[in-house]
Amino acid sequence: MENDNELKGEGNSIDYGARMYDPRIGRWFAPDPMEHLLPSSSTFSYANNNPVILVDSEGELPILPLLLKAGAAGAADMFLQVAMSYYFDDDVQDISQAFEKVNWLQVSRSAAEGLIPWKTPGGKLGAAALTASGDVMINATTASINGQSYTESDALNDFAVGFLGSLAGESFGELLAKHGPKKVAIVLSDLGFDDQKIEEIFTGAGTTWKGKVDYSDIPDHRTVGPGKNFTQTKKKAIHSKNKTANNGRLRSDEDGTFLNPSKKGGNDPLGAEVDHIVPKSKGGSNSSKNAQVLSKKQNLKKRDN
Amino acid sequence: MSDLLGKSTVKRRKAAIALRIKADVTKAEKKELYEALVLEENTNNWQTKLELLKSVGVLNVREASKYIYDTYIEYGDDRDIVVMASATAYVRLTRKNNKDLSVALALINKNNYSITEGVLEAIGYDKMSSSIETQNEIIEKCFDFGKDRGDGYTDPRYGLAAACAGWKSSKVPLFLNECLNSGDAPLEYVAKNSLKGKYVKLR
Repeated sequence: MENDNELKGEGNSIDYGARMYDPRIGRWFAPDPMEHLLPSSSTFSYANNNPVILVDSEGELPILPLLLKAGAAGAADMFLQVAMSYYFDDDVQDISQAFEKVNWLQVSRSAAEGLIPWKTPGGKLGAAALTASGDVMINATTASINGQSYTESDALNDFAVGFLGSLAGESFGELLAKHGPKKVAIVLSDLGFDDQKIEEIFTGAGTTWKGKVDYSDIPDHRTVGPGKNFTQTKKKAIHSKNKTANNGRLRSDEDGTFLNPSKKGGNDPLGAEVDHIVPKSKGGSNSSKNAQVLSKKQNLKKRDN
Repeated sequence: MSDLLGKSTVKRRKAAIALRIKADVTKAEKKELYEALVLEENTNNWQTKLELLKSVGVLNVREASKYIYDTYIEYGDDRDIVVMASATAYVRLTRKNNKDLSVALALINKNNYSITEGVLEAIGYDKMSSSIETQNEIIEKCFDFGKDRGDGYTDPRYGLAAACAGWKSSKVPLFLNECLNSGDAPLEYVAKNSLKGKYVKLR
């Protein structure tokens, strides 16, 4: 720590706050005010004679900086959880109840993360992966304690959310600025992350959409003809191809809107429907080449026109 | 008053379909069908128009032929499928018998996509035939018909390829082999069978 009067005399006495230090001999002039906590150590030696691992920034009690960081991270997590419970949980009436809601496994995880070296192997992606792995471990442990199942799919999903969440902190902003949301979204999509979450949380609507799906490779039955409806089998095949092309999600071929599986007679405006590109009334057929997936709302709008 | 002349378009449509598949239709019912078709003209229910036109053609309601020609073939309709169905119906109503392709040829000469497709449907579904000269003329006119169509349409030569199962023109094998390479599943299916001289159940 620097003081205004840090250097004394000819520069051989440095004021650390709690006591003075002489760099020529590597010793304090006075005993450590907290010496009762370190009964087995010399109270005049700097950082217990181990300045590579320990620091003594005030002249009071040498400490492990990583431990300090871990403690701070754990404490921050704990207080965050308390605050969140206190302000958002309707069942919590006072602070003591909020403390009862603290997930100590999560606090431990945050503290453990504090022990991660500043330079994580793999850079920001490595750090994000480490955080995400922590999420998986903590959720798996919590599930195990509560007697709940925790599947491989749960683990993958938690990893994805943790990974993106960690990247969102700082690195993601840099990635977006450097490459643009569309490219970042496509890369994340290709990596297998959930397109809807990528768009909702990070890159905005439509950024992971790769365009209209081509269904022409779905074979046509010999009965396809002008003005005919798509068969249920063909509709299923078209939905399936749409999902495969869109990373497991049903999306509109018009603008990439995320759609819900359609239900017969349902009124969901975002329900997926298989539409004739060339309308039946114009002689459009029920061939795969004439198919596109639209939301119910988009299909109705097209009908009005 | 029957459903054919009722207020509900769905009921009118269903009544038209029911009449079409009925074994024996009375003169009164045919008259009612024609009236229903006329009443449907100013509505926007193309699907009901379509079913009425199909029924009028299949049930041979001859008095409707002039009306169909003036209203849908001469004047046209925004809905291509309605024009197509009207051409099919008109051929059925005006031919002398299944060997009379004169009306069909006259309509093909109009060079209208929907009309020609409708005419070819009638020829194929009703297994129509004619002299070798007329067969040659129709095949020549329709040899490349519809090749420049968009992706959303099926090959309009389907009906002609189906009819070719019973045609003896020397141009038939060449035409059917051309159809076999069209890349259109329904057309390839009928062309393959027509080459063997077999009529198949059409779509």
